[in-house]
Amino acid sequence: MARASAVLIIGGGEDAHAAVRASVGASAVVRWERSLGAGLAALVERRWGATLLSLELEGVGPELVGRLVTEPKAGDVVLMVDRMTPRLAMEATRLGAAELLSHPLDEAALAAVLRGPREEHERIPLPAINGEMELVGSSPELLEVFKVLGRVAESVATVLVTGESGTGKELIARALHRLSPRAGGPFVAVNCAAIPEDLLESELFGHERGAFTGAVARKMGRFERAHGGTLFLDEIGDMSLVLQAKILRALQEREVERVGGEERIAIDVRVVAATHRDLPAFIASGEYREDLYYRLAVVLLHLPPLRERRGDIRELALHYAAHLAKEHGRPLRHLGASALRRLEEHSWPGNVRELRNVVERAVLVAQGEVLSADAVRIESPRRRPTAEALPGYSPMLSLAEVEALHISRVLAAVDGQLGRAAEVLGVHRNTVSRKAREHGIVAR
Amino acid sequence: MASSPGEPLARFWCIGLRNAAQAPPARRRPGPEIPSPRGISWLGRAERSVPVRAARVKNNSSGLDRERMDRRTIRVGQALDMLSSLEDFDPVRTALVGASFDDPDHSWGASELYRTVESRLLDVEALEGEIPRLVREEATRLERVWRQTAEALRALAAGDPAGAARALVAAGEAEEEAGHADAAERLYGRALELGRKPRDRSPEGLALRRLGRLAKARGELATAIRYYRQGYDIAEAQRDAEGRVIACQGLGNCHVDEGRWDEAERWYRRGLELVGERPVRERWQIESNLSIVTRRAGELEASGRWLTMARVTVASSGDREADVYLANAEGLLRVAEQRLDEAEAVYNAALNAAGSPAARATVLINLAECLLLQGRAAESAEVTREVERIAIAHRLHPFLLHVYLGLGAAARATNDPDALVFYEQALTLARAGGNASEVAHVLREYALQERAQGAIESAAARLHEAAELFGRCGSRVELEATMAELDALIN
Repeated sequence: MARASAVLIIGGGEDAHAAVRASVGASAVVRWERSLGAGLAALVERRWGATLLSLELEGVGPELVGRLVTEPKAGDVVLMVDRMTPRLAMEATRLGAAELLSHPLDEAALAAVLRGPREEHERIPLPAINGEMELVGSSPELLEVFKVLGRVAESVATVLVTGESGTGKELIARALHRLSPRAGGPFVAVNCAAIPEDLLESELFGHERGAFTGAVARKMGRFERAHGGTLFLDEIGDMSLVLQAKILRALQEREVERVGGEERIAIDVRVVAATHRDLPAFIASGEYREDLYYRLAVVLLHLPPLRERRGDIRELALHYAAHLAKEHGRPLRHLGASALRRLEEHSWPGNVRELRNVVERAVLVAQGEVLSADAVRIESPRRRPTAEALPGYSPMLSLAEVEALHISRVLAAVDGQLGRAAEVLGVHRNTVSRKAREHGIVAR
Repeated sequence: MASSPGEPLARFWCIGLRNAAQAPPARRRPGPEIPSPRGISWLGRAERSVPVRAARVKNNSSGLDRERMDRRTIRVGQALDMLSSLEDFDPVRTALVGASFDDPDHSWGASELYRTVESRLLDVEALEGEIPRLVREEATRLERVWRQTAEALRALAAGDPAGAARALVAAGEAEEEAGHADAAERLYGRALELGRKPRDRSPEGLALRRLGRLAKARGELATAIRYYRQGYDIAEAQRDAEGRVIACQGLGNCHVDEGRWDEAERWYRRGLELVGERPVRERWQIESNLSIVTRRAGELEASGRWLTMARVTVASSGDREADVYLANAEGLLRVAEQRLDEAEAVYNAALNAAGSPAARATVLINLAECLLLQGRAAESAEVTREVERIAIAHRLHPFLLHVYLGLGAAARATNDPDALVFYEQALTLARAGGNASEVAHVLREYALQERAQGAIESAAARLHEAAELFGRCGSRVELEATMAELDALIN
C-alpha cells in the first residue's frame, strides 16, 4: 500500500479530519463529507487512496461496507466507530476493511494505514526459480566446500560434515546423495538429538514385536530403510556411549540387529554424519568414542558460518525470497536495497537457517511487489531468560506489573509509535492500545 | 473429547472451549473456559520402559561454562521421571514445566524443530523461587478442604445432613480444582451417601452431577451418563430447574462424546425448554452446543441457525464474554463447510477479542488446524508453537497434548519421519492424564503417521489398541471410524 495522496472522509467529526490531515501531510487531498449521500457522491468523482467511513452514520450497515471495500475508487476503507467491540472488529475484518478505529482516532494507527510502508526506490529483482532449494553461495569459502563435495560424491566413503547450527549440513548430505551413484536409492535422515534416547536405538536399528513396552509390532529401522541409498545421521554428537558402540558396530560389520531380535541383517548404506559439536574435545573428555569418530570422519567437510562468508548473504536472501514467495503465493518481484542492507548488517548466529526464517517471515508480511526493510524483523539472539537479563525487573513483580512495565518500556523505545510497539511485542496494534489504556500508560 | 467437554471434536486436536456449566465451581463463568490447568494433567506420569539418559548439555564454550551448564541443567523429562513415583508432588511437577527453558545449545539446530516440553531444561533455581507460592496455594486448598470438612461436621451435629453433604461437595470441588480427582471423588461419594437421607435431596443431585463430571473427564462415559441421569431424576423430583438444566447439558455432552447425536440433541433441547425464553447464560450455551452437535451430525444449515440463535441470546443478555466462544464455534462451522478462508478470518478476529490465555490458546489451536487444511504446514506449526508458549507460561498444561498432536500433524503433512517425536510426547501426556479416550485419539493419529512411513504392522497395532479403548469408553462413532481405518490398512 502506498501513501494515500487523496483521502475521503464520510461522517465523523473534527477529530477525524484533523487526524487525517496530520497523518497524510499538507500536500494530500483531504475531503470531508458529513452526510452519507454527499460522501457517496464524492466517491464517484475521483479515485481515492483511502476512504474513512463512520459506522455511526444513518444508513451505514454491513451491506454498504461490503460494497465500499470492493469499490476500486474507494481505495483502502477505514471504518470509524464511537465504541469499539470485539464483534465489530471481527465484522470489519470479515468485510475486508483495512482498519477499524474508534474515536478519538489513534493517529499512529491511522498513519500506519494511510502512509503504508515507505516506497522502496532501490530494488533488486528476484532471480528466476529453477529446481528445489539447494546450496547457494559463491564465496571462496563455500566454493572450497563444493570442490571437496564434488570429489567425494561418487565414492562410498563415510563423510562427517561439521559446522555451526544452521549452516546447511543436511543440504550437503542431500547433495552428496544426489551426486552419487546411489541417487536412485533412498535418502533417509535421522536427527539423533531430536529423538529421545530411549527411542533412538529402535529408530536406527528397528525392533521386534514385544522387545520393550510400546513395541507393539515389528519395525524396520532407518539403517534398513536406507539400504541401497544414503543414511544421514544428523547431530551425531548427541548420542550416548552405548549407542555410539552400536553405530560403530553397524558401520564396521555392515550389518544390523533389530532390538529384541537375533537375526543379523546385511545393509548396503552410505553414511553421512553431521554435528555442530567439537567432537575431538568430547573424545578428550571421554564422552565420545575415538574409533567411531575416525570411522565417521573418513572425509571431513567443514561448513563455515555465515558471518565468515558474508558475501553469500545477498545471494541467499534473493534465493530464499524468490523460492518462498512462490511457495506462499506472494506477488514479490524485488528485494529492497534497504532490506538487503538490514540483512547484511546482522551477525546471523543462527546462520543460514536463521536467514531463511527471517526472509520467510518477511515474505509473509510484505505487501506489494517489493520486500522492503519494514518487513524484515530480526530478533535478538535467543537467550535463556533470567532476571539479570531484564534489568530493572524485580523478580517479585506481579505479571500485570511486568506487563505494564514492559509495554511502557517498549513504547518509550519506539518513540510511542503504537504500530512499531505492536510489531516488537508481537501483538495487534489494538491490543497495545487497549493494554496501554488498562495500565494507564500514555501512548503517543 | 473429555478434556474439552463443551465441544465435540470434528478432528481430535481441533479443540473447543469448555462448557462453563461443566467447569468446577470457581471457574463457573460464562466465557471461554478450558480444562482446569491443574485438573487433567500429566502429573501422575506414565513410567518409561527404558531409563532416560542424563541430559548432556555441552557447547563449544570454555570448560568452566560447560561445567556450570552440566551442574545446573536437567531435562524436564528426567525431572518428571524422578518424581513420578512420589505422591503429593503434583504442584511441583506442574511448576517445574513453567520453570524450564529451551535448550540454548540446540538453538538453530535441526533438532530445535522437534523440541518438546520434556526436552526443555529445568531451571532449578527458578523452581526453588516458586516454592513459596506453591506452599501458599497448597495451604489455601487445604484450608478450604478442612474448613468445609468442619462445616460438614457442624451441620451433622446440628442434625442437617443436607448441609453436611453440601459442605463435602464444596470440599470436593476444592480438590477437583487442584487436580486431585481421586480425593474429590471420595468426598463427592461421602456427600452422596449423606445426601440420600434427608428430605431435601438437592445435595444428592449436586453430588451426582459432580461425580458425572469427574467420570466424563476420565472418559468413563457410561458411568458419567448414569450419574447425570440419576442427578436429573432427583432434580426433577425436587423441582430443581437449575439442576435439571445442568444435568441435561452433562448428558448432552456425554452423548456427543459417544457420537450419539440424536440423544445429545434430545437432552440439549430438553435443557433449552427448561431454561425457557429468558436470555440467560445457560441458553446461549445450550444453543451453541446444539450448533455443535448438528455440525457434527453433518447438518450444517441447522448448525448455522443454532449459532445465530446463540448470538441473538448473547446480544440480548449482554454477556460479552461469550463472543470468543461463539467466534470459535463459527470458525469450526466454516471449516466444516470447507470455507477455510472465512474460518481463518473468523479465528483471527476472535484472537483480538480473546482476553484470557486459555481462550487465545483454544482459538490458535483451531487456527493451526485451519492453516494445515489449507496446506500451510509451516505456518500451522508456528501457530501451534505459540500455543505451547502460552500453555507453559500460563500453566495450561492440558493444551500441551493438543500442541504435540498439532505439531505431529504439521510434520506428517511434510512426510517427516521424525514426526514420531511429537506423537511419542503426546502419548506420554495422554497416558499420564488417565483419559482412555484421549489415549485412543493419540494412538489413532500416531497410526496415521506410521502408515505414512510404511510401518503398516505398527500402525495396525496402534489402531487395534485405539479401537479397544474407544469401545471401552463407549465412543461409538470414533470406534466405527477406527475400525474402518483398520480394515483399510489391513486389506
